[in-house]
Amino acid sequence: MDDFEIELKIGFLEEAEQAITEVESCFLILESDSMNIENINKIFRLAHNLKGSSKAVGFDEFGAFTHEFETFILKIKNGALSCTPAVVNILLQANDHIQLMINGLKSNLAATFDSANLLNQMKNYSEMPAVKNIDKLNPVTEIVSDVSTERYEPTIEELLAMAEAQEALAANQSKMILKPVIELVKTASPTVANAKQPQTVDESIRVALSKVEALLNSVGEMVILQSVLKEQVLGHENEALKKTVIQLSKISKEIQDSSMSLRMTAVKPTFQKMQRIVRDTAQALNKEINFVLKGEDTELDKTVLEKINDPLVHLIRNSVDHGIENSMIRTANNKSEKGTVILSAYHQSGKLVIEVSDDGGGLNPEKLRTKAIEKNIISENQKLTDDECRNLIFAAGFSTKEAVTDVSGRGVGMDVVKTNITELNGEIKITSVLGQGTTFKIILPLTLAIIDSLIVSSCDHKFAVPLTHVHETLRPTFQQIQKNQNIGETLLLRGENLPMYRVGDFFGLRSHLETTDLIALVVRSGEKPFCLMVDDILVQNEIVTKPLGLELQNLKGISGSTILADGKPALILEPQDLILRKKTEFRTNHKVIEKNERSNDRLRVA
Amino acid sequence: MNEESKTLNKYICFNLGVEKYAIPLLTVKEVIRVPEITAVPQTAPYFLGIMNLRGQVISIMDLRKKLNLKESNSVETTVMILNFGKNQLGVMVDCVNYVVSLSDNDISEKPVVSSAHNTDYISGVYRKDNELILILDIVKALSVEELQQLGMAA
Repeated sequence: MDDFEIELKIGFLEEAEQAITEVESCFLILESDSMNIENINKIFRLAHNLKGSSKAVGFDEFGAFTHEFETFILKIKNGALSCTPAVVNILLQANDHIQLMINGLKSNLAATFDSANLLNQMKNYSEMPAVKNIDKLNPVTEIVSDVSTERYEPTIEELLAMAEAQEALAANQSKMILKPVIELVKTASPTVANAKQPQTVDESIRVALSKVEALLNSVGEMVILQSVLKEQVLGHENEALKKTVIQLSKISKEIQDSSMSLRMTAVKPTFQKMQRIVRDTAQALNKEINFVLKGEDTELDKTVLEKINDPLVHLIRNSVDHGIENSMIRTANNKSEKGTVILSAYHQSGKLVIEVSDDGGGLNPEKLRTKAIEKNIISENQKLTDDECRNLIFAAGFSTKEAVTDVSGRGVGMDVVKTNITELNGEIKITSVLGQGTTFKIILPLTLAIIDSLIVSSCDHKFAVPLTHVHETLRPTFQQIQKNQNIGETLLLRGENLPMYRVGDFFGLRSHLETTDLIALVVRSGEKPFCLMVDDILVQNEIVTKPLGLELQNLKGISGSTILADGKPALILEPQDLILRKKTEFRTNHKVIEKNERSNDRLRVA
Repeated sequence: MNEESKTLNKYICFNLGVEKYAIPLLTVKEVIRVPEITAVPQTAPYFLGIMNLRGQVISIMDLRKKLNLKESNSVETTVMILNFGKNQLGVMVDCVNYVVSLSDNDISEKPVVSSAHNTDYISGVYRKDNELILILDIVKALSVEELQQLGMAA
């Protein structure tokens, strides 16, 4: 096992621990409110993710257990089992067992467990209460969790003896459960004996986001005061004071940099986790896949990255399972036998884009439509465009494969993908050409990140424009400007005619400057390029976005605010939305119609 | 202080022009001098703009304009930062005078006046010597829910 694999496994164990704590509270809700569908769905999703991730990092035994766990929950979800206390007991028991496995694996990544008893219980459970001995088993479980805490060294001998004694005592009822205790203690002993072996120390800590944000706020304020102090010290003669201030400013810059970087991590580890998934999935399906990673060093907010993991697993699995055809079909269609799946990340228009694309069979809109009608997701006479058909795969309960495999295809995957991405304020788009492949494009906002921006002025107002939007800047010459009755002034730039919008116009600010005195920011982030005209560019800076109060969140064309170096706040412009601001003023009616159409779309697809 | 007076609530008293107002002290997070304000174009006249409060961006309203009070020569010198749940808002007033502890008995109902103005935001009146202090329902006065529409209107 190399270091990387160990890191992956430990990372998974941390995640799993969180998941089962969450599941546990759901189970307790289940007992009191068994009809709560949302709750059941949540449990199912968590179990599903647990299964998927555990297999991905190579905990096969863990995966096998959680697979059965999921199947059991599915029975409840489908109504085959009702939520009697006995059922909930089994669930909690299983949860405890997962916790036990996590603890065991934490101290020894190769630890094995005996889960046969619980597995049988879950497999064979019918409405008959066959699990009377659960209560008796509980004390044993407690011992188990005691063992798995890290303080077992001094008492290891005792525990071993105790466990064996217990085993003898309780041999009839709880042999299966006790076994892991022995296993655990036994596997733990070598670690104790060989004290030189470095213990797996958790080198990361989880910190509440609010704490990081509070830190960033204070640091921002400190940096501003720092620059004020620097100004004040200028007139002073005291050399020692000056020196101290300079040193202080260096340190505060360092503090600022490192606190800013707290939130950002490269997508690399997450991406590399996918390699394993592709390999295992391909093996299980007997396919040959060439997996390509691009842009692994792209940095993303940690919280966003964590939440994008599960959707990515689903998408990648789907690409390998449903996307890439088997080699026979591929050769018949004149394609190379080996399928290609590309996972790439890059920044575009101030957003992060993650793409999963395959060169497989593509999505067949007709097939999806028929399937959706079959599943009662849409009615037979609904007319859908091809794009709408493709989006059907995100509908809840939609799965085109008949057989339920442990690879994919229970009809939860894509549904979860969509939910997770929407939760992040992102969107997912599908492009697919039948016979040539499918690309899933996940577009995520970088709202929490630090943005490189131009600070511009327009009619004595300062604004920040994210640099990602600005393709180039120039001062237009008289010859480049063309006037047009309908669209106003345009800029002729290397044979292209770009419409020019004055920033002031969108805010009711009049500028008396000639167009040739202005600076054009060429924006190419959207479908059509255009120029944003400003009076001046003051500075290029890294800025931290600050949320605006509720009373200002609906301002179109403004994505947030920031605090400039002089301590004053400024608004951050979103050029694409900003130019819509003008259009909506002239075409108010049109906008309403558009809105209605869009909400209809959503209804139809959902 | 007689025994009948029940729990005392603290109010912060401030001036708007020549009139005196008070709001519950607990809604006020802090009182500061008028900071540098960045105007936000195309918002209502009473919306002064945004300010930097130790790294946090907060909107500021002119309470005098918001309540449609007459222009006066007095200078607004003070901003009160108010808490509305998670949201914070600054309101600019002339000056803050003092804090008083009042029981419900001290506050009389507002006199019925025939006025074209909506006076819903006045929840009561407190008389002290010759002074008349109007107790404001600040949530109504700023029409907090309405403010959220502000961006839409712009």
